[in-house]
Amino acid sequence: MLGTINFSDVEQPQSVTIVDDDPDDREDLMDQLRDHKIEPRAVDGRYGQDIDRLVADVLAINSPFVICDHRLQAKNLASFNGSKVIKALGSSKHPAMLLTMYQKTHRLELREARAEVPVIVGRHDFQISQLGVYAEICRRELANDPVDERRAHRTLICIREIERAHGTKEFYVTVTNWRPDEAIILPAACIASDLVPQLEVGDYLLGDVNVGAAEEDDLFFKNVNEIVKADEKSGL
Amino acid sequence: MADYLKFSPDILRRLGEELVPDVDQGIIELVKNGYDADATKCEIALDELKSGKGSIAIADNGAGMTGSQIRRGWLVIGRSDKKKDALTPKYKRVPVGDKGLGRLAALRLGNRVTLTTRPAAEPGKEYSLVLDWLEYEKADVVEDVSLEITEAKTDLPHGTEIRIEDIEARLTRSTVTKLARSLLLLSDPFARFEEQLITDEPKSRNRPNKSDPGFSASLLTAEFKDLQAKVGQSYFSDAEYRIQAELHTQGNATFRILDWKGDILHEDLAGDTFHAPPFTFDLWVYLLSSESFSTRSSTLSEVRNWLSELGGVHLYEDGIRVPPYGGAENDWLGLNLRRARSPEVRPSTNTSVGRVKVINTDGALIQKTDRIGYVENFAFGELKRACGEVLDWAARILLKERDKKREVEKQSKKEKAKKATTNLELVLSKTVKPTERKKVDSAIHRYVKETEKEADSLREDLELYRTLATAGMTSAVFAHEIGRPLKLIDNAIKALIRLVPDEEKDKANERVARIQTSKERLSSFISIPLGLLSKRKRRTGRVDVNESICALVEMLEPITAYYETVIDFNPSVTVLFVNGTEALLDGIMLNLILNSFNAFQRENFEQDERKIKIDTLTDTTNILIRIEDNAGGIDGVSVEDIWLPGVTTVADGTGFGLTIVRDSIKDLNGTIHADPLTDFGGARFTIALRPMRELFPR
Repeated sequence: MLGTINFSDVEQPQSVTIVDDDPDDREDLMDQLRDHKIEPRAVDGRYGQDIDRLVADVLAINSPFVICDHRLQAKNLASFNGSKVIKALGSSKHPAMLLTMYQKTHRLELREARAEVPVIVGRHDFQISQLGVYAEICRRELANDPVDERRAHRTLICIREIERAHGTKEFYVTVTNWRPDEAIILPAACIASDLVPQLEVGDYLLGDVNVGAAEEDDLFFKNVNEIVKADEKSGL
Repeated sequence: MADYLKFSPDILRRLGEELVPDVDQGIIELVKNGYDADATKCEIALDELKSGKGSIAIADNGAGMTGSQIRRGWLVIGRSDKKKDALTPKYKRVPVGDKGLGRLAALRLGNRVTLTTRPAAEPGKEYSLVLDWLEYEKADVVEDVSLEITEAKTDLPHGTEIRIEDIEARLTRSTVTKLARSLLLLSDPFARFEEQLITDEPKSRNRPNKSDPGFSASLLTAEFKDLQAKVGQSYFSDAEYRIQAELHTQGNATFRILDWKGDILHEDLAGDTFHAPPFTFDLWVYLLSSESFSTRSSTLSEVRNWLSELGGVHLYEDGIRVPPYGGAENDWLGLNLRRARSPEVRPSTNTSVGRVKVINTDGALIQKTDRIGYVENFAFGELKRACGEVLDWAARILLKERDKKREVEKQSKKEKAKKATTNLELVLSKTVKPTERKKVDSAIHRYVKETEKEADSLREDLELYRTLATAGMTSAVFAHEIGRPLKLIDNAIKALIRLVPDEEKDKANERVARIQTSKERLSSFISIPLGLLSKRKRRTGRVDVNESICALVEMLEPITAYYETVIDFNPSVTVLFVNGTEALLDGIMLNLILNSFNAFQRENFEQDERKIKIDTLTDTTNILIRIEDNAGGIDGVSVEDIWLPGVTTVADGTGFGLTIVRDSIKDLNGTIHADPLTDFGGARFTIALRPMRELFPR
């Protein structure tokens, strides 16, 4: 888990902006921050599909760090997910982390976005005392100097099983340089679209994966765009 | 001059009435004294109890008392002889009575008590004594009231009668019901029906004397004859099976399942030993279905009524019942909880009656001072553990049996199908011309293929409902269990607030309010599955559509508030009834409403004012229920496919909701139509159900 990475002498941000649709959760987080002498600031209102307005409001508040809830739809703050907000803030070089309940079904959704979301922490694991670490991981990533756990390496990905359900495909894969005996789901959206129809069990893909990740939920996949078919791999 | 402690008459009232508050238990104590006096029968006569001037007489044919026994024993209040090693002289019974407070409570019921006793040791003699409680009320100290034991000649046989007169407090029907039940259960009515077990086990030296003819207590009352008849019945032979545990003196136990005749079906030695006094636990389990009672002389309702009076597991120490075990609402072995956790083949207190017969000669089990139950010590814990183990063992065996039975049924169906095919082949070869045979074969082949397809789809449905049933049961179990931690949160919050210094209280209260809100939200969320699973809702009959939908909408209020959605329910002016279950209608409506909640939260869909509209109306032939939302309509899937199991457009959806809706509507003989997008701004579902016609319209 990224939150356990140790950085000596990182400083806590002085203030943090919170984006959360549930007022109780938001207030609770703000109280926690106050208890740690960090000034909490919050974004409130309804943004519908207007992500640009939300990002502009966050940037206008100008806190050095942002904590954003993943599901913003329940209480109608916005009709997009928090991961999109983090990506948009990243494009503006503004460090931000994602807070989530880590529901089982959100895992794959988050895996698709993981390459561009440096820190995702489950609500049960979140610790204010680690806020400096979360912010530092984001800062380094935006400075193109990611921590080892977030550094991508070109690696082989083996297709172990393909599940078809209602017109969609789910790929169970093993990442040879990560844990060769642990199959995980690779969302089709992470694979170059022209390769998806060709894939069969036993095929290998080549992609950029942060093989230093400690947990499955911290893995990301980028540039998965080369294929080695099962019948061609004898030379590998 | 030496001085003595003296007692105010008040102390008699307090000791008797306050320490033993249940009248029936006081009277039972007097009956137990008869048992200890080696009586074989005891009669309790209740007279004019409804008048407020009634009397109770308890008469036994026991050994009676001599004058000195009355002076040194009966008149000494509070002497409790709990030593178990002194057996009664004639039948060597282990004494069970309490010589103290319970007896006093019963004697204090009326204003006057007359004791008449004829000792077996002094044939032809009768001793009498009158206790006038009004005299005690007038006296300063108890010792001021003198008592006279009179002696007379008699031809009557030995025995004792206690007559309590001038009972002012009117005994209610429920108190007498309780007394009748306690008396019936007191001297082990189960014993009459038990079979001698075939066992090579040497009989323990501690077993009761075999020459003891037994003890029976009967209630004589003209006012409550119907009750007497009800509890006096027995239906042990109507039980489907009997679960039995026998704990031997060395602590090892034998578990058995017996059939209704008492023949052993399964027997096993327990894997563990138990540190409890020797006992036998029997549980008669009934299958309360009309099918199982169709060939029996007793009726289902008779047995059901009898179980409601007698059901539960009663505990007998040396032949005499120990209350409250097996009493009303006393499920000390947790039968109902076990059944809730694993409903298949588990008995509940409504479907079983049981008895634990314990031999407590060594006194390992200790009765509480008020004679209501045992102290929860190690020995009692072990007794309960052994009973729990046999119930689990039996459940495992019965589950295996059920599976085996299903397998046999499946096999037999296959064989029947094979036989039918052979027969068909035979008939075809005899009746169809060889030139036509190819056509017939091909038609049959097509038919079989279609049937197989249907069977496959039914199998898939079954799989789906199994999954859902498991999920439902699991959530119900957790919903039951969650009450305790929620209560703990409440208490912990209060305790924490007490620790907060006054100057920080306002701040702390803000945070506490958030915890309270979350707790309340959790409680209301959790109450929803419990509400849906209530038995009442699964009863088939007339369902008031408007009332049912209105209750559901109210129940969902916490969820609708959380999702910032408004449900607008417009019931029809006329009352609408359908024939079915409320659970089916709830299932339909709830799934459609949850669909709307999910639709509102779709990514990239925006709706400022989330609305769900439900209308009920009637045309000339049907009841119509219309449910629509402004959540953008159905997209990403064709309208025909939405009913298929597993089809969902929501990331965390199961895809079962609309399948259940479709099947439930089919069960109600109705139809459903989906409009993917209406002017209201979302999908609309229109359900048509057949109205239930009333015989006598209101």
